[in-house]
Amino acid sequence: MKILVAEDSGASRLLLSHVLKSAGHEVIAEVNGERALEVYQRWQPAVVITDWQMPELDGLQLVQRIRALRSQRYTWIIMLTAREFKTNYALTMGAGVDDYLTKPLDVELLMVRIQVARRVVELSNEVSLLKRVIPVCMSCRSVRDTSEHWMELDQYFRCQTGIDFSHGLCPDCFFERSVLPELERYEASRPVSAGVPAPVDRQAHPELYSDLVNHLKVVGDRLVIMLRSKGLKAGTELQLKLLGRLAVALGDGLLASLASSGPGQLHAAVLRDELDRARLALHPNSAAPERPGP
Amino acid sequence: MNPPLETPRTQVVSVLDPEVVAVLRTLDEDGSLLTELIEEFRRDAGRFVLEASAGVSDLDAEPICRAAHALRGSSGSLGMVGLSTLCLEVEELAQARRFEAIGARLAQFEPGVERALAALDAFRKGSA
Repeated sequence: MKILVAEDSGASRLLLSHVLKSAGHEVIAEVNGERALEVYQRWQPAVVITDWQMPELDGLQLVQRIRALRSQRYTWIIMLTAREFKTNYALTMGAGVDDYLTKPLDVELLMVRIQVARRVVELSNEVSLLKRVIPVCMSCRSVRDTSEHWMELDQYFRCQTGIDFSHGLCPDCFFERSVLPELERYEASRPVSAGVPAPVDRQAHPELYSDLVNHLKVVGDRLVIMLRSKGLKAGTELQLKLLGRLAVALGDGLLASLASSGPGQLHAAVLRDELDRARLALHPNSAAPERPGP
Repeated sequence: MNPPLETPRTQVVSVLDPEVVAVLRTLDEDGSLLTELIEEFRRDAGRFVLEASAGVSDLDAEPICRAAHALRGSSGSLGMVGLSTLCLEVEELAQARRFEAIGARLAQFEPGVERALAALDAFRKGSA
């Protein structure tokens, strides 16, 4: 890790630098807060270890200035001071310090705290990476990582976070790839009366009818889940239109009228009840009345 | 009137803390770290004496306090317990604005530094 040390005592600065470098860290050590702040801005260290009492800019002021910069990457700040912990730690933490160590330097304790710092900084970097704007190809949706490599979205997130993905279709893609082609096939093949295609003949086309019933259940379920969790407006226009077309295809006048009345005019509870009734009516084992024939 | 001077605590404290020195030994593979630390500390101590003496002359406690505080940290990190205690005494005396007593402590300071550095150097030579 890149570690910036701000310490005005030469011996303490040397000892601290030596300890950290021996542990494999990159270290820049400065003699006061002012110089440390300059280094901080151009070097962006992961960790800052600062003495409190220093000339020019003291440790507390340095911390406040660093926090005011609002860097994209989080910097873990350790105050290393001869000042007593109990009476001072609240003030330093309030200023933006993350950890407080008292002098004389305890090398073993410092190294343990640096491990903690590494853990937090790495986690924080992952989070900030996920929060920043990610460049995505407009055409193929590939994502560019920080090394200018392009990769698929799921591969990108797997690399950055270790998250694995299961693959399926979202409701909108399912409707688009599966439901719409069937509906269009049906609508193209059926006679149209007053702009409305005639319902599917259940006897003549049992497979198509069964498919459309299943789709209607899926559309209905999705819509009900959305309505229950987010309210009526969450139902997408596409889903409502599909619901209407399915209802027409299946000859269900009730569903057709519900869908055509629009989301803004429907009360969620009413729609939910009606969809439940429609699903019951369409279920093969339900005791619902016979559907109207074609 | 100022209260009488207490017995300096440094009289009963040893020069080096063996535990800290043992840690320094593990950090110093070729003896170069201790050599550099001795040099740096000598500079820190010289700066302290200058700043503290100026503070006593000007009857200004703040620079004395600051210098003593800084040297307390570094002397403690090098295991110089006697010197670290002396720095704490100077810091407390400065907070109480007892400049006469500070002057007396500063007189002990240079021999104290030399004693501590000699002990550290002897250790360095022994461990090299």
